[in-house]
Amino acid sequence: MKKGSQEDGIVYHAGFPNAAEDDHTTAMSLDGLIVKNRASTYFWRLESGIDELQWRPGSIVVVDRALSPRSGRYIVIVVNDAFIIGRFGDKGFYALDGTLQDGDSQLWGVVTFVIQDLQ
Amino acid sequence: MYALVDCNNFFVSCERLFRPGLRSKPVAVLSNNDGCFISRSQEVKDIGLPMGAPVFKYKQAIKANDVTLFSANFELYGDMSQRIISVLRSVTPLIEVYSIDECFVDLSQLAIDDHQTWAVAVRERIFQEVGIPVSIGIAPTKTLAKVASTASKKRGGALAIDTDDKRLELLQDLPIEDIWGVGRQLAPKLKDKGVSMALQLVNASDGWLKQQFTIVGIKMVDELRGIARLPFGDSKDTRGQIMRSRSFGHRVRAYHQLESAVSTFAAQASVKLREQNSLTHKIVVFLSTGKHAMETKHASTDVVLIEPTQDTARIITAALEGLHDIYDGDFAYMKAGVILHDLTDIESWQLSFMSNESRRDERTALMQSMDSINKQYGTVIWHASEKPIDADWHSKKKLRSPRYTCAWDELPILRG
Repeated sequence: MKKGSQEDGIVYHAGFPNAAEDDHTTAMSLDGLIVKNRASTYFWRLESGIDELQWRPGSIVVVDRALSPRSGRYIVIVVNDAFIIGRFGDKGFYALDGTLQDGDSQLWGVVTFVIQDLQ
Repeated sequence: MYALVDCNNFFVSCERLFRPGLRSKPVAVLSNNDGCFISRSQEVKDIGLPMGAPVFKYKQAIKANDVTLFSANFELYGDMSQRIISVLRSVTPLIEVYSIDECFVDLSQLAIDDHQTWAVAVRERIFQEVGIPVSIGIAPTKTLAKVASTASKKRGGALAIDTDDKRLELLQDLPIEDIWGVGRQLAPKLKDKGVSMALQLVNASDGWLKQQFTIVGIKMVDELRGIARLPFGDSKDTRGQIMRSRSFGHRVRAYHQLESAVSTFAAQASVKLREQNSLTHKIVVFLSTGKHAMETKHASTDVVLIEPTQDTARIITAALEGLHDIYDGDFAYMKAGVILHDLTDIESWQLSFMSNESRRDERTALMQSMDSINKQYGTVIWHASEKPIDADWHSKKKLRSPRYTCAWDELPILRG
């Protein structure tokens, strides 16, 4: 049985009541929403904005390496020594302008969330 | 059967994950004061720059071969290490974190059809999810698992010693100085007696072995013979445990009172832990009604930490987690306590950081050359938020890469 013991209707009157007690295990955390797999989730910083997607400069891009990309998903691709946002498609990896990347480019991970500061 | 999961050139691999242009280029990571090599890519090994060697002696070779150097970035490496550990923990809880880049796994509770296939699959999973290449060796003993993981590096990164033939074949080609636990001093002595390969040790008579070795050495030979002698989960020397507990003097039923007591014990034990310079891996919480209660109950649980700590806040959080699990409101308790278990000396923990690529002698030389900085980097790795980083020390890490996974203002950069 867990603390608080509301389940069985018993109320304890020992000591000073702790108003925060019930929050102990129920607090929401953004990690629970965004980090599905701690081992494979990485955060990236978007250097400049992507106007067509309305992703602002400085946004945080959340990438999960454990996922296999499906067609149309945003992905992180390694091109030379740089990392770019692209999309997964029928023939491979596409840059956002629609150009198919050559065979040397590599998939780094699949984008799951973009966190933007709207202030 | 045991598996040893060993990260390949770990610190270099961490750097390369965020610098893909450095793949197949010579890369080395330097100790804190940028004094000596502590991790080298294969290309750097091929050039002949030795582990633990002082950088200034090799300036010319570094320049001639265009070697990329990094200052150690232990926050990054620690985070990457935890990611790999958490993948392994999702497979089985029976793991022993041996060092920042080596982890033993007890496979006895797992249903595995073919160990070779299993090793290949786990290796691929770690590479896909975390991005770090590892070598996996599987064998009936920890010493043989180490032999297998080393041998696997030239065979695609996965090797299971699951038959006697495979074991003997590997031992035949294994020089004694490469056996885990054979020091540089022992190897020449054995060679003088005509023993240069592991297979000869395994085939030697028990009488001869008793003349040559102490108990530790005989255990090692047994391990090579496939008889497990090393304990699992207990490779670090410990200084026992730290316990703080108290009888309340009256019966306590209210959760928040127990919470307050357990927090206090956890905090007191943490102070003692820091005084003796240890880290704890496991926190035990217990509750007892005492033996005179109408209905008696003794409950305890342990909370195992992903990384060892001496941080009061983390220890209290873990202790309260344990209390939450064992608390039963049907009972009134007379006593509660917190025990810090699996203690590791903070310096030996740091020492084990260096263990993978270096032999023991090199490691000692390395630690000596790092001398006074040791203590500071321990605190930086394990509780960066608690203590200010010494400004002078900080300035020495000229070549440090961003802490990509540990600091919001140092995230890797992505372009559109």
